[in-house]
Amino acid sequence: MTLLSVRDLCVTLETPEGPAPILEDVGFDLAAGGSLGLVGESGCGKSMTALAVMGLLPERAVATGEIVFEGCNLLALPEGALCKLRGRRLAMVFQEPMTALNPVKTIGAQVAEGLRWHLGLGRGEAEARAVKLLDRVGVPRPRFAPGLYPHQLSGGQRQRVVIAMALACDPALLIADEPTTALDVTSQAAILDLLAEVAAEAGLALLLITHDLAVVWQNTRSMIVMYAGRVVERGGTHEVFARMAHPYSRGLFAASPGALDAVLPPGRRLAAIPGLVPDPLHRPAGCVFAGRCPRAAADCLPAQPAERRLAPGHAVACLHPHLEATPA
Amino acid sequence: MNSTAPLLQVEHLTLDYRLPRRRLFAPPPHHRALDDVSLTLARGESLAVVGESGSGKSTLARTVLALERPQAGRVVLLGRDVFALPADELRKLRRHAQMVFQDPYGSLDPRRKVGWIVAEPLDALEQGVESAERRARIAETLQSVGLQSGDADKFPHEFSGGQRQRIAIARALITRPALIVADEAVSALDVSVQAQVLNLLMDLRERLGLSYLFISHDLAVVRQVADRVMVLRDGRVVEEGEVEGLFRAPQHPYTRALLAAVPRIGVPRRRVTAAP
Repeated sequence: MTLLSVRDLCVTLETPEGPAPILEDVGFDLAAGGSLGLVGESGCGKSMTALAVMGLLPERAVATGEIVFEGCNLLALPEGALCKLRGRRLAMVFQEPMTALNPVKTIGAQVAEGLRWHLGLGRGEAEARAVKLLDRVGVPRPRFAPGLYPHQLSGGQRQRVVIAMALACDPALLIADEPTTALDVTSQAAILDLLAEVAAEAGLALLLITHDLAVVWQNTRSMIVMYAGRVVERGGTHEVFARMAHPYSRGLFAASPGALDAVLPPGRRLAAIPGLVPDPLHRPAGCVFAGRCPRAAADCLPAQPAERRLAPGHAVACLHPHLEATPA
Repeated sequence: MNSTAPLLQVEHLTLDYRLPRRRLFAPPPHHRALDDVSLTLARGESLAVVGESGSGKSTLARTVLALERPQAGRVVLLGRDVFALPADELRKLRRHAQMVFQDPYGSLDPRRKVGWIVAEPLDALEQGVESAERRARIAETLQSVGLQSGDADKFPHEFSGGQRQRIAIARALITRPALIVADEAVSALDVSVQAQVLNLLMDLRERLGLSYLFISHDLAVVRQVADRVMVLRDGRVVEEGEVEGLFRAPQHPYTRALLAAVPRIGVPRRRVTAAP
């Protein structure tokens, strides 16, 4: 059953130099209990997509299209109705746990806040539930009293508290925006394990935003690759990795130092993608990646390539996709 | 200068940070950031220091550049003990060792033009450089990192993150140092741009014979740029070795735990066991 369905989502930001298209025709589906990875580099629109779903876009932004969640279009809902969904059915884990937590409130009170607000629990009951949630995410009493403040915890522990807050009201969709980027590699692995576990336990759908291809490979069933505000490739995670049909996906894969399982021989270099992501105000009329693409041809320049299906559940927006398998 | 002697030798470095007093008359407690750390770096060699936050890797970088004073131990750069030198001699020595920081947004003065930023170490460390030569050095250094000489008249905000990191590298190169200490120099960059900057660092090393002390938490990056790796934990060296050997057959359980935690494409996730 489709839980979240995004169709033709366009987000435009008003800037002094004119309207800047941030997202263009973004669309995807996420089934209840499913997991979807969103990859791409900074500025490609991953976080804006998440904020659009949460109804947290900046005020200068205008969104068109449809974001259908549990049968209702979130873009058409008034703020009051969104407030009742946010933190209740839709929850989000942000990148930086220190700024996501209130420094002057105890962790117990912050986890209990959603329970009191959304579920109308009394103070005692909410706090008892908060203790259980903190216990579940690995911040248990008595070592971590709910009376602790965020500054008394490490980065990984804070991220666990943020996850407890997100889980508190039993949401259907959890959006995790670079949840482990600010953490050490060992805490990163533990947090990803925790997210996978709690998602499976509660039947949550997980929208995982990351720049790290390996994290997507290990944690999601389907994925989309975004570039300059557009979806350039989508499909089952393993199918996309096996093919890497879009030259951008392949470039990203080749440039990841972790993709190589050996030391570079002397004199050899990493496969960098030349150039930069185009500025939203000066995006080309044709394929947005053409300026950096090794396979670009004359037919890439006049118009945006339409998405085409390569295999069931695997599509790419490119006129000259790679059809051979990804080199090992 | 003896060319066979190591470029940098660090011997038994121990550094304590003083913590706030717990009670008024009690002596303040200490945190041992570095505990008996030794290392040797030959000319043209690249040594990576890896570890988690709080392992002391940045403190080590700062101490090597004499930005922190250790309680015990020596740092010998180009045959000279940096903590035994008089201030003016140390200043002269500084042009041989430069630093590149992590954040290309925070490390460049937004109100200065790129030319001024890049030339600042030159102005501070080498007296009597004529203005024509100074201009030529700025242009030459900017070109060596893949920027244009005309970029000297722009401001940092006109550049992307990757280009800013190139500016930071140019600033480190202008005094023609032998050693570059790069503290998480590519951590803030996107993957494709990160590869560009890593390639630049490798090119510069081949062309100029630079040595790198490469501080990083990212083991995948380290594998591509370093000859040797040193693993720090709680201020102590737990393992050191050639990069390929250390990745293929890590000896210390902590190194193994670190390597196992790195997510890899094509390898299903295993449940993490906490590092011992």
